[in-house]
Amino acid sequence: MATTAIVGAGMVGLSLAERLANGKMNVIVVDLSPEALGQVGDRLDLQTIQGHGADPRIIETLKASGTDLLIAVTDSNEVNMISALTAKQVGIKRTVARIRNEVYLQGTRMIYRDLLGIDLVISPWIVTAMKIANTISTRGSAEVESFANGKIRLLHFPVTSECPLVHRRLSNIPTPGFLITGIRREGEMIVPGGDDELSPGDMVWVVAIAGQENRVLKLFAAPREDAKRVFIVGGGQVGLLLAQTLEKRNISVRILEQDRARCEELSAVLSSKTAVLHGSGTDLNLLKEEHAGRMDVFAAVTSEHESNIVSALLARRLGAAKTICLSNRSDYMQLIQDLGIDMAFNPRLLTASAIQQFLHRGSLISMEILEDGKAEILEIMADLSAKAVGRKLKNLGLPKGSIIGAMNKKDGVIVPGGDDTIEAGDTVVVFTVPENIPEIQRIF
Amino acid sequence: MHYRLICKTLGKFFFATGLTLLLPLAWSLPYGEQDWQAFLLSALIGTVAGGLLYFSFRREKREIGRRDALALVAFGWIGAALLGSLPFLFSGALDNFTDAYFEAMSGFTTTGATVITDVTVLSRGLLFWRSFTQWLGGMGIIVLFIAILPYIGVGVRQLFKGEVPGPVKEGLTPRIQQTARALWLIYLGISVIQAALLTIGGMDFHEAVCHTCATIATGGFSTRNESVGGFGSFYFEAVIIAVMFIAGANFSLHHRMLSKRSLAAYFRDSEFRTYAAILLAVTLLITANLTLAGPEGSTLPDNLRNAGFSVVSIMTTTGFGTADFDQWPSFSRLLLVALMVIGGSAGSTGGGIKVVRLIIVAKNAYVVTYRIFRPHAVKQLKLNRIPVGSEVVQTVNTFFCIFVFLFVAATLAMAGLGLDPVTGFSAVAATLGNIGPGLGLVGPTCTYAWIPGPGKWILCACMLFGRLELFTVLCLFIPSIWKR
Repeated sequence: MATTAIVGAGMVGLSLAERLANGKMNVIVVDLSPEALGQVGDRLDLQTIQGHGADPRIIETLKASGTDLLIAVTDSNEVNMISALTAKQVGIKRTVARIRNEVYLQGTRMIYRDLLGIDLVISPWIVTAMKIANTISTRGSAEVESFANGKIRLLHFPVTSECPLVHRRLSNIPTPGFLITGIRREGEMIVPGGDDELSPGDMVWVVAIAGQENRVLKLFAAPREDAKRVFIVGGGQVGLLLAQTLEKRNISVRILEQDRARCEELSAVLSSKTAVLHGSGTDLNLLKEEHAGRMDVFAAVTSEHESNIVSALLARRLGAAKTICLSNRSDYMQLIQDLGIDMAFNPRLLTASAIQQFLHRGSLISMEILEDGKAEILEIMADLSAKAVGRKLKNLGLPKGSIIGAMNKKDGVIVPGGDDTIEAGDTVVVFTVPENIPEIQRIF
Repeated sequence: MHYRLICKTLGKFFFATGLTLLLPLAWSLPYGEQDWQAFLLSALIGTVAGGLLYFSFRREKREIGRRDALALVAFGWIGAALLGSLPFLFSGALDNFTDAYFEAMSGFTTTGATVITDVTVLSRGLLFWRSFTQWLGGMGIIVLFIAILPYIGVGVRQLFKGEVPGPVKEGLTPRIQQTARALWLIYLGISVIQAALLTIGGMDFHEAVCHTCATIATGGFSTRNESVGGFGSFYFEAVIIAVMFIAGANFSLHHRMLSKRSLAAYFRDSEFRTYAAILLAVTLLITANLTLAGPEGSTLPDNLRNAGFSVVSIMTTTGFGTADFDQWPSFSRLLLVALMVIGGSAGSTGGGIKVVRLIIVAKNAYVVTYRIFRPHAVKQLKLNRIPVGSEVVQTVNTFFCIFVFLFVAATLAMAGLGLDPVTGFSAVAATLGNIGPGLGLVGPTCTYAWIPGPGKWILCACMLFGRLELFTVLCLFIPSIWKR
């Protein structure tokens, strides 16, 4: 049976260990601290090894006991990386490393996967920021998901009678930078071909290159109600990534940070339209002065989770339309909702879920179920070994009911045509009916 | 400051400057002019004095420090002008030392203000020397020496910084000598092209070379009393406008353009965009002003041509003239004075405050004002999307203040010597910004010959301050720099 090693018995490690062990998988947990290991061993049916996560002897032991997947989630970025690298070198098939330092995340997936051999580099901050960013723009239900680190977006909106494209064959609609991948009509999901037409009352799914969203919505004359003003408390990595993502969507952002030097860094990186403010997120006068109450979304994402709750409550009292807060305490989640804060995000749980998703799906990077399972959208990375590599899309033999909406290639995102070729390292976004999933996994 | 070290290095510089005097000597020989003796004597004085200075202190082994570098640059320039003035004296073209020194300083600093009322009586050798001093000073004599002399020492970076204009001095290559060579190569390349274009267009070779030297350096010395206007050729004016425009832009952009073979560097640079926008806007404003309120009988195409030439000539701080802009309506005249003060781009051969400093001052004013009503906001001043450090901003603001202070002080001094206000303040603007012609009695059709002696020395100082961008010279007035 497959054995998974988890290096680091922190919250993410524990949460993963619990999910995997209960899912009938062999789990070995490695940690420096005997106390932490003791607690895990008492609660769960798994093996523990006490020692340093990047110790080559321990990794060889892991290999010897049949480990084929290593997940490094200690507190240290470097230990995680070295642990994963060593594991790959001694022959452990798949490796995952959690990286929190933004510097290491500047590299592409290609560098980590194909050159270093870490199959998944996961950053809790990116995972969290993307998740928050997505909920912010789904307010108008115009944008549902993003893929390839935000470079590809899935839009979902109704076709009204004002839409100028109604009753035209899709093959006659020029679609540079986007593709209509799904139409829901009278409860049926259609993955359209060139002969299909749009009619009023349809709901459409469109895969678009990031930055094209507004153009697409305008082209379809789609109704839109989007967040326009967002207030972020906390200029850490989550806050910064969130602000950068929102800036790209032309949302007006105010970001409040307590540390003066960090404020200057933020102001250096962020666009000059974004207001960087220096002060505390629990300072009511400051929040009033900066009109926190008039915001469409107020997100408290500092590393002090109790202050996040207080900030969000203050903003709610001032009248902010939607309040979001970050909390690492899973036991607070219910309390936060009871207090009337609209959403709470837990970076550790999000990380654990993201890793788990990766484990279940192989080369699948992410997958979202749409409309109660009537359609799914998959983000797949083409391995060197994938059958699809080197083949043109029209020769791929993609089953009916599936369509490739966009590809993230080395030199940028494209909306592919039949003559485009899949190369190793490309990420493809596939829109499909659920029945086709095994067939698609066979192709990639 | 290490006096022996400075004497030794200055010796090297003077020797090299002395050698450059052999060029006008060679120039005057084929024309059969008698001036070659003056050049030979000057060259001898330069090389012998430099050689002796170097020889007496040759055992000095110390490396050039920050203080030494600043003093070296300042003294290097003062000394170069001294050597440069000798041919004017020995040939008898100018009869007193003040005038000769003024002319030479105006040459090296690429100002182009002259005390010679009729340049047509000068020999070709002297005319060439006048323009050639500008060519030497344009990219910087010290930078030239860095480029061609063998290893100078680790202090070379400080020397480079002391002379190159602009608030932020980046090297283009890992080694300063390579940077200096790259800059001079581009400079030489443009010069060759311009001289060829002018010669092809029918300009006499001697005049083509002299005008090329004065254009690329944004100097402004001409071989004719009517300056470029004397040719009356649209083609010559077009070539000269183009080269002045190039010379007034940052040479590191030219370097980037050449090494990457793409024009993108220009459009991405906010200083270049502002520089081009100011040139265009002021040209249009002056054309409109001339057409609506200018002298009778002027036509729109003529106005556009004259305004375009004058605006580019003044903003790049060249100082060539095709029209007597002193006769223009006062709005146009004052616009030109404003351009004199702004000047070219950082890292160009132009003078003035420099466009990038103006951008930084303006942006800082915005940031400071913004903070007043939003005290919690943290706003970094950014240039080309990169934050500008607060030390740089402070230095630029200080530069601005000192510039204004010097401007006022020198104008007052000129008024004290009996000059009328317009002449006085435009003479200071034209020398501090290294332009050349001013307004009133120092306008494009006049010379600086009539200004009293002390006034000429004040203007000489203005030219030096302007060319070395204030701080390098000002440092010498701080006593502690003189300590050993």
